Amino acid sequence: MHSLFAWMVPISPLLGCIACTILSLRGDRKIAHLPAIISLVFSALFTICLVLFGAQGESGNTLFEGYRYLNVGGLTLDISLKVDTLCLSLLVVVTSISAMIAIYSKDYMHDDPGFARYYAVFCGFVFSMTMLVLSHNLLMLYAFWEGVGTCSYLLIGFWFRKPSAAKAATKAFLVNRVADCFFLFGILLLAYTMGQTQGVDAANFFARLDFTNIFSAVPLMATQHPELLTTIGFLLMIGAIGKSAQFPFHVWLPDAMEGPTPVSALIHAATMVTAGVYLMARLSPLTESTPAVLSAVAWLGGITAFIAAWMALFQDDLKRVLAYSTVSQLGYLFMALGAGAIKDLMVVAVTAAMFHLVTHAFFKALLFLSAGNVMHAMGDIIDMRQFGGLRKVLPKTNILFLIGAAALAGLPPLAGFFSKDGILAVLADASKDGEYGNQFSILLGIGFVTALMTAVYTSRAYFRTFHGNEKVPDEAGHHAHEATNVMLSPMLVLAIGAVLAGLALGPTHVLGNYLGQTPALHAHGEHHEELWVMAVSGILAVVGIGIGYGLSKLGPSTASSGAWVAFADFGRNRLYIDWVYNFLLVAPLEWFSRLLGWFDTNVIDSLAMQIASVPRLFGLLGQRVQNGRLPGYSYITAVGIAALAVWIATR
Amino acid sequence: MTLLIPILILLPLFIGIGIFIFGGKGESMVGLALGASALVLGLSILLLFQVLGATDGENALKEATIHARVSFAPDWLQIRLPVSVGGHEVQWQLQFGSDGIGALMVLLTGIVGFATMVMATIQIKERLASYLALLLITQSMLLGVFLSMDLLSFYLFFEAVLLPLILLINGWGNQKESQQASRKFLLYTLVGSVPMVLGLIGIALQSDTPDRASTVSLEALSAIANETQQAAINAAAGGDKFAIPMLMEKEGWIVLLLLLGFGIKLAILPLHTWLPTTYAAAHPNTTALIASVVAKLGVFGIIRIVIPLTPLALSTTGQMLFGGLGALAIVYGAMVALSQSDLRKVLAYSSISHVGFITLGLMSMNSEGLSGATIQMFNHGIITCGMFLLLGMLEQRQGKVSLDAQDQGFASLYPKLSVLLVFFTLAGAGLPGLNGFVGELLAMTGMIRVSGIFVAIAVLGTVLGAWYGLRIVQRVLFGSSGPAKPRNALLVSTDLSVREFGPLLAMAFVCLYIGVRPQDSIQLFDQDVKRIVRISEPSSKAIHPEIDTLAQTK
Repeated sequence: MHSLFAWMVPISPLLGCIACTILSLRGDRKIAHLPAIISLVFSALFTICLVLFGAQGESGNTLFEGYRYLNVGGLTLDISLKVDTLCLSLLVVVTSISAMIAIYSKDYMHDDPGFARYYAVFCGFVFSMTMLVLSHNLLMLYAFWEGVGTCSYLLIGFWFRKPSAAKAATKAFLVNRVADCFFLFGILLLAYTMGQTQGVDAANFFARLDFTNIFSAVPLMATQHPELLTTIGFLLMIGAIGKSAQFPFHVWLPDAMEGPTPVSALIHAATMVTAGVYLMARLSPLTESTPAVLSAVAWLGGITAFIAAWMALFQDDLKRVLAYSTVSQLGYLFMALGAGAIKDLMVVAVTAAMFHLVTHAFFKALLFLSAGNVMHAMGDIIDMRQFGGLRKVLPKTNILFLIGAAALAGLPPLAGFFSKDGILAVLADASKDGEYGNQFSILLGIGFVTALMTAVYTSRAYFRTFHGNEKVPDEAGHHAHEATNVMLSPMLVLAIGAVLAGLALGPTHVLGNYLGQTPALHAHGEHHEELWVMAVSGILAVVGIGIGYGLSKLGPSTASSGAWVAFADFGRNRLYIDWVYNFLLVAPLEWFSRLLGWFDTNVIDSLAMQIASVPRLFGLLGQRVQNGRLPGYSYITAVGIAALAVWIATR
Repeated sequence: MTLLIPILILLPLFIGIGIFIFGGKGESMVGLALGASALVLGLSILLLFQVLGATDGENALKEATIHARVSFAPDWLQIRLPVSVGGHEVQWQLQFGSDGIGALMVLLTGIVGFATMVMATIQIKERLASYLALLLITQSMLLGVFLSMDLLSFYLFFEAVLLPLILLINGWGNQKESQQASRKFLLYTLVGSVPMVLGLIGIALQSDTPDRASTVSLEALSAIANETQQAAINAAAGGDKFAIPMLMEKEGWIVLLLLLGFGIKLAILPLHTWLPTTYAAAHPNTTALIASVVAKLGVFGIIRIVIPLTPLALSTTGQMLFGGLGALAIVYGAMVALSQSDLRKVLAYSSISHVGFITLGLMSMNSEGLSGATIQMFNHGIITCGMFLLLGMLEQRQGKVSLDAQDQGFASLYPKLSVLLVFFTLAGAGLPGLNGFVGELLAMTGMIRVSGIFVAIAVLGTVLGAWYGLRIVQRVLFGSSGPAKPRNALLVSTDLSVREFGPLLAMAFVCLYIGVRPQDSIQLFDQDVKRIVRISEPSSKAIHPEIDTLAQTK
């Protein structure tokens, strides 16, 4: 029974995907939302069943057999599902939010000629994502990891007629692929290393990569091949930070906003980008033995959280503010994960990260959908300089956005406050450690500064959009109107989540206890609640909102001192990181490829043809003799016969 | 003994010759040619099931030989020469047959043959009858190669493929370029085939010992190769330092000659330059056939002859060299593909890159690598055939497709064509769930046990592969600033017709099917690979003791 439920979670969206693909190929029919929404709602229901019935079982994880994918010379790789509480908690988020957003999209995308194509890829994404989460084997996870990346590519490039969208889609796929190639190499290297480790029962190359087998081999590998294990940890980490858009791979996510807004909400805020966090959480028993990797994770997370917040401060595009905010919040998650570098903090760190992941998914999806409402009403204009004071035009959206923004800013007692506080508390705990304490003190500082910046840019965006003088762009037409009820009702659900999820899951330890049922996350070690951290982060939120309000009143051109101008300039131009990449990476590679192209035709090929013309020289010599004149031939014949005669005679 | 095999080889040959002679203008021959290639496709599927049905017994599996699970070797196919080599009269039994690997390639030939035939009837406008006839004859020769089970007929068919192919390249390509291209193609292949025939003769002659007559049968030869190498390895293990060098003296030169011959066919670096020239000059339809099947002949030769017949010499001299060249080819081909502006050349260089993965798999000489190489031969054949056929359709509609212009926006013009092109591009880029991933993964899995560095280079290919693939999609399909109307003289302003869409859709389904359930096709040749691995892995282990070995071959 459980097996059926578990399998139906991914299969249901797969069926939806197939139905929508057929509809799309038959010419876009307007009914494509029906199979999609139905299948996604079913997927969410099945997930809830799994949670309610405790499908993880007594031992904390249960394997549901699927089919044999590969069997090469006795090496087998199965497609099977593994259910434990870690994956169930993410699964609930993925399926429920995707169902909400599918409902929302019905009206949002209704006039688009690619309506059925949209839902086909949408369902394909949910299928891949649920399979990714339920994977029992690292290779299987990789396969669906690529699957979600492809769906993301197809959805970013959904409006492929727009060159900027086509470019953004390509960029997103390639940046991810760069990270994934390290990831894949890490996976292969891990399997190889396990084969080289004494005492690991590992005749089966692919089965080595089952999570249970990896974790049981980690202690042996840590003693026998510590350097290799660290290398593997770094390679796998690169995969994670690529998908989760962490520095230096963060460049694709803001551009991904070229896709339809519901897609930004689902894939590029709530679910796919958290896959990296999920991977790190899943691999926590491995990374536990490689503190160097975790410390790098924490630093990358800290850097990302800070610079993304910095960039978010100076964006005029509402969606981009949210995109950078997503990057920044993901940085928070990675900081939290990194705190696992300290012994005994791993479980707490993972719990804190997962907690913020869940709440963030709710309020960020809510914010994106609100931005979608604004965009819908403003005739696809999303630049905050072109509209303002919309609280009368979009009264309901105003309230929904306000809830999301307050949650993101970390205003107590909304969801963001508790989950962000959880992360800061973990960092505060980590800063007391002897070995890594100093690092984490700095990171805690970054965390506080970023929390302040988050509140500032969030409130600034909110006040710019909904308060002040009413300003509606021409593109909106005559009647900029509030979104339909079909769009608003799923947002209401998300808003409830954004308000209550923090209080319900955090202080009650519901999520912590639930995650603790996963074998790898059995709680050990004490975690201290720090009241001062809570107080400081609450105060920072209020102060930040105040600053943001003040900034929104000031015009954009009120810069006074030179340092501030430079700060703003850097933020606006994304710290020139894209430019650096183009200049230092893409351009040289393209130049090198042209060089190779030239080399191939003008050196290798012409060399080969030169060699090939050598026999022709002999031919030219022969041409002299073969001149077709009889006297010459008979002369040569005579000479030949004479020579033969002489040779025979002298034998 | 099955008559299916001679029918498979001879049917397209006779019909091809018939059409060539009595074809006339060719319009009336379309039905016959289509019927013939459909029949070949049907027969190749039938052969597949026969091979699947003829599963070896448990005992037979323990033998380390090549084994034809379906065979055709009548007595009258025996060559007796009144020449004595080493005291024995030459008495060579020609054999045809198929194991799983051969059957898979036969299926590929059937699919590609049918697809190119359908497209040819749409796209070829002049001398249609000759084109169809030559296509059928080429197909017959290719089937001959894949179904040969002895050195002699293998060689004969291997060389005979060239004749109709040269005519195809020469007669229906770009006027000027195709002359030069076919000359280059011919030169390269001749340079390859002379060493190859010497190597093959060497193998045949060395099988002659005082107590055994010479043979050309692959099954017998592989058994002999295994025996001699086992003896050498055991002697070396027993302390005889000269056992392996002695064997190397016998076999070393053979393997080099063979690798040169097959290497040119699979366009190993730096002997690859015939490939882009030929692919760019020939008609896309012809190129589809060359790229998907003919370019696999070299790979097939290595897996059928070099690995099982000269394993020890291969691991000593060729394994690391070719493995390295394969890894290099992946990156090099992809990098050069990035810089090309002609879509034909992009696809040509991408072919070089993909074949690099196959080489990598072959040179791992273990079961994952060889399985990966085998399935990738098939996968790449399907994918590249699809790509070139789509290119042909695009050229028919739009003239030469250049990548210099950004945002040409063909996706709005030809939605079905674009969906297929994106699909095949993603399959080629190794997207999991589509067939390209399976082969690449297995090849890398095999290779990482031999050399981590080669795999580290190869994974870069997955990035570059995506890069040039998406470059095609972005520049050619996406955007809207492109031409609103077709600009070719042969105006086909509409999206794909059913006749064009059908075969390609079927091929796309094959890609998806293998990507989702690869085991169904791997199962076809798993036992044959196991047999080869039983020969190749001991030698690879003996020469490179540092290689990670799995306790698998019991």
